[in-house]
Amino acid sequence: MVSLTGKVVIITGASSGFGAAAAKLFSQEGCKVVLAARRMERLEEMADEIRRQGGTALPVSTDVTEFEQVQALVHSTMDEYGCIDVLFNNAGFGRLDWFEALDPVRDVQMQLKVDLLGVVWMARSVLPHMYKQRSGHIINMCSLAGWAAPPLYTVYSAAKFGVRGFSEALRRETRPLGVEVSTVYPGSSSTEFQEHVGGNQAKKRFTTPKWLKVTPEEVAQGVVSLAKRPRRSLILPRIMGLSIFFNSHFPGISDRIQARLFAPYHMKSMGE
Amino acid sequence: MAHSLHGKVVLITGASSGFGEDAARLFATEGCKVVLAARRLEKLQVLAAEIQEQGGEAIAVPVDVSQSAGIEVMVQSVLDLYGQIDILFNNAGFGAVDWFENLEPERHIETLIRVNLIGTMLVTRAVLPEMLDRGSGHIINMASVAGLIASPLISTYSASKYGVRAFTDSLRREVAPLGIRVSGIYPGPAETEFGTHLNQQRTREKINRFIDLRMTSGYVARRVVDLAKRPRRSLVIPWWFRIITTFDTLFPVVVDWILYYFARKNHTLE
Repeated sequence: MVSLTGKVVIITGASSGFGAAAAKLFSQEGCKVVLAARRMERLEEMADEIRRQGGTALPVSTDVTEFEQVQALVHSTMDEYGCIDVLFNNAGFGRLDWFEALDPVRDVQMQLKVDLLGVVWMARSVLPHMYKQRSGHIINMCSLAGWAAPPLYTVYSAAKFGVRGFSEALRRETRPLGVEVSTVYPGSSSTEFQEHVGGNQAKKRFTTPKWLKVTPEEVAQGVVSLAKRPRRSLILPRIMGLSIFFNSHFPGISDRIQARLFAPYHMKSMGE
Repeated sequence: MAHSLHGKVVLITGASSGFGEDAARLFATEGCKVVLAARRLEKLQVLAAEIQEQGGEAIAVPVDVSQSAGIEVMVQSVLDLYGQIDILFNNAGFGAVDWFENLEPERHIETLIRVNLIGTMLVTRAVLPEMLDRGSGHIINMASVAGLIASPLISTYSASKYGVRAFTDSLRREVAPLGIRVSGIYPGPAETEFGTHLNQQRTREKINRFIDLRMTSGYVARRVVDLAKRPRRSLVIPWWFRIITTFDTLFPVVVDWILYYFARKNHTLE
């Protein structure tokens, strides 16, 4: 178990949800937190709040789909603090709908850029510094959708599977050189994520029961515990590991169950 | 049950070389109307001429799957000509093989994801509505064993192919009840231009021992045509790669340790 006091932590998507919750917890652990997101006013407010409580925070307006801005974020962190100990690659959103109802530009290209390309670019920009330090920890925010690809999740699952594949490959490269890579796989939670998924009828019908949901605070605690004691992955809630196992090892049955569950809704939407 | 492919309209992306080129010839031999799509129009025209000479039917359409606007225009032109697309073979893609810190942010990360993953989705997005209207069609996505197991040196390629796998699985679960088949193909190393596009001579030599296992591109293409005749959810070629990927799913930590050893021996920082 390592102490996090004085560590420099970059958090993308820090303006809400898991990112905001993690920022609070990391600063309570004594970390210097770099808050990155597009909404600068929110970041300023959060930074003020953290400073009032005696912490250190640096807000940086960042759009992870622009490589120059990703690099600028890393540069300002290095200028301010001189090193990067933890990257919490958290920015992302999801649009969940039948594939033919998704918009090619906004829902396909944009989603992939934020959820996958942004994650890879952040890691690419941070890694040379971590290699120089011979230490560092990249924590990628994935999702249970990084393990199973149900209907409505065509694009979101593609992005999150991509994050999982990327994280696995990256860990296998970097760990012998002292850089840790972990992946977090949370299930459904109540964050701003839910406001952006869209209004699909089947999605409204199949909501996650309360006992299977995780709170942003639980996820943030999981992320901080990963930073203290690096592990390869964290599934939240743990019980969902069972559904992942089933989906991975019985793909044919999973296909039939899921296709049958969603088919009536899809046919109805086609009729409209 | 195997069905005849005679008279089917097959759209193949990345048809100018590799699996796409060989699959185009084979589909034409089966009596399909083959639509060859890729960036290199001259190469496509040569291939189309060759297929026509042998009594087949083929047309060449230029497209860059990393550009969304061009894709819709291309698919519309095919629909105007043939009225429908029976089989879509999403084959366009390339690889980048190097340690992650050596990969270029634009070419080896952004363009790779745009071509391999976003391109596959956008072409499918353009073709799917017409298939849904008819309630039939077959979408075949070219993934890779790298979409089942993530390994050092191919971090971004694995990311793109994991993505193709998820897209394939999710889409199948959406559209199978509506009469549309969706299959994923997961070939291991094969003999295509892919190998010549590898970035670094040095790295290439290092993995040459592994690459020597490679299959011919024609063999993979034959399996693709078989898959079109007899649709299945997925196809891993050679089949025994399934053993390795299942082992990775069950015991990822063991695979980690093996690959850490590989990385420790070969990965040096400059």
